[in-house]
Amino acid sequence: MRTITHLEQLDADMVRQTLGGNSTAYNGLVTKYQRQVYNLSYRMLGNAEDAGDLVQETFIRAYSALPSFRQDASFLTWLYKIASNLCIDHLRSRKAKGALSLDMELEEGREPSSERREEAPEDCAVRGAVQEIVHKAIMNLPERYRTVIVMRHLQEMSVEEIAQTLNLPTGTVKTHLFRAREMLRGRLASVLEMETDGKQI
Amino acid sequence: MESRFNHNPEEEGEKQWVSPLPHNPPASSHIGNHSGLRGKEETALPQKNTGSLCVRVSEMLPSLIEGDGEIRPEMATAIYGHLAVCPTCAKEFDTQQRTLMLLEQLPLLELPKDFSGLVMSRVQAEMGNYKDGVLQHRQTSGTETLSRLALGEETAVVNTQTAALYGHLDTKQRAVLTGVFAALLVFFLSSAWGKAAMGGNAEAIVAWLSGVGEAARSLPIIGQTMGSAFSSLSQMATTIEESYATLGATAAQGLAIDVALGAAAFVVYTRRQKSRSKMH
Repeated sequence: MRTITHLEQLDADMVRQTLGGNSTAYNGLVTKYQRQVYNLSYRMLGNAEDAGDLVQETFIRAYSALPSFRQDASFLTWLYKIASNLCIDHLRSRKAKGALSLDMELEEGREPSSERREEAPEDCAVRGAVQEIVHKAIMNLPERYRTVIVMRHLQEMSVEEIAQTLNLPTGTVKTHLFRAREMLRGRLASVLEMETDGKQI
Repeated sequence: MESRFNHNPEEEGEKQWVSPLPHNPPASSHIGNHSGLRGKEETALPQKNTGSLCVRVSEMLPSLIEGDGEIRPEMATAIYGHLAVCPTCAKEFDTQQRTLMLLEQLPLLELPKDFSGLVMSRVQAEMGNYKDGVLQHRQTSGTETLSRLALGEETAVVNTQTAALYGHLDTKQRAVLTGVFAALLVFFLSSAWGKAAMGGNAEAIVAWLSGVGEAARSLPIIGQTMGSAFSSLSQMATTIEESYATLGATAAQGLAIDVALGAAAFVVYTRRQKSRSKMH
């Protein structure tokens, strides 16, 4: 049987309080996890506005489905499951509509505010350029590979957690991760070469 | 249920990954005493066939970098030993590591400070106040209890969602709806026909299922299976009938409220769909 951590127990208590009519408890859960859900959504959708909407939709769905939450997985994994399904639906409807080109979408959603350390303006510019290339490389991955790479390396989820979230065998998650990393390596070859040569972008 | 992520890469015509290590490293780089590898559980690298050695190392690098526990410490030591003397494998290791570092250096993005307030106001607006909708419904109607007893928890979740939609209605809509289900309630609880319909329908269903089951048994080959299936259905219907008999008024009340809430949810959903399609 799965061991429930102290953190998960706290979340379960907040869920119980919400179900008992205490909306402040749900506000607490939103405050606690909105950032992770937003980052997952942003890296999946590549657009800050869509990501913000998706976070709201995720918490609304989660709220209505709260009675069905069981402690088979952590609350965050459960949220990720809702968010990743919404992201996939969103991407598919975008594809079906023949949406905007990827460049336009990325233009709209250019790196929103983030935690930045104090650094020289030129270093900041280089860092920003590299980050944009990496972000575009992730956005160009097929949806299934993008999902696992974002969950594993940006959200720092374990392979088991990803498998649980996506209802996939762990072997499949590992295969997707492997292929995704290979694709990324190819697409980031220029950045890697420049780093090796000590050149600036 | 098959996951939406399941796929077969070969079916999609994706290229199989080929090791980028075609070279033969110097003989001094060979580590270990085993002449072949069967899997990652092996604790030493192969001695013969230098090309396959690099291929095996490159296959194990992702697991080594991930630290996913698939590579035993002895094997990890052997791989690092190989990396120390094989520049091509070392370069491959370095590239894989730096690719991941580029990913992990992406900043964690921040939301506006009042974002949770915005989410909560949308939750309230979309779903209605929880206390007003869900809890009141659960505490007063007994619907959830009945649903859990008769149909399992999934139904209870559906009821909760319809109740939350009910909470979304404005005062006038709620008043109309309350009138509708109050009328239904009075009908089912007070009229002889209503009471008879509740129990009578269940009895009729049980009798029909059991009759079909008996008739099916006479069919060749599939008769026994079909007969058993219908018997099981008949048993389930009996349980539901008994639940009605035992719970009586609560069951009738629950059903009436469910019908009304279901109708309300349908109306709200249809109106939203219409307004959304107008917007588009």
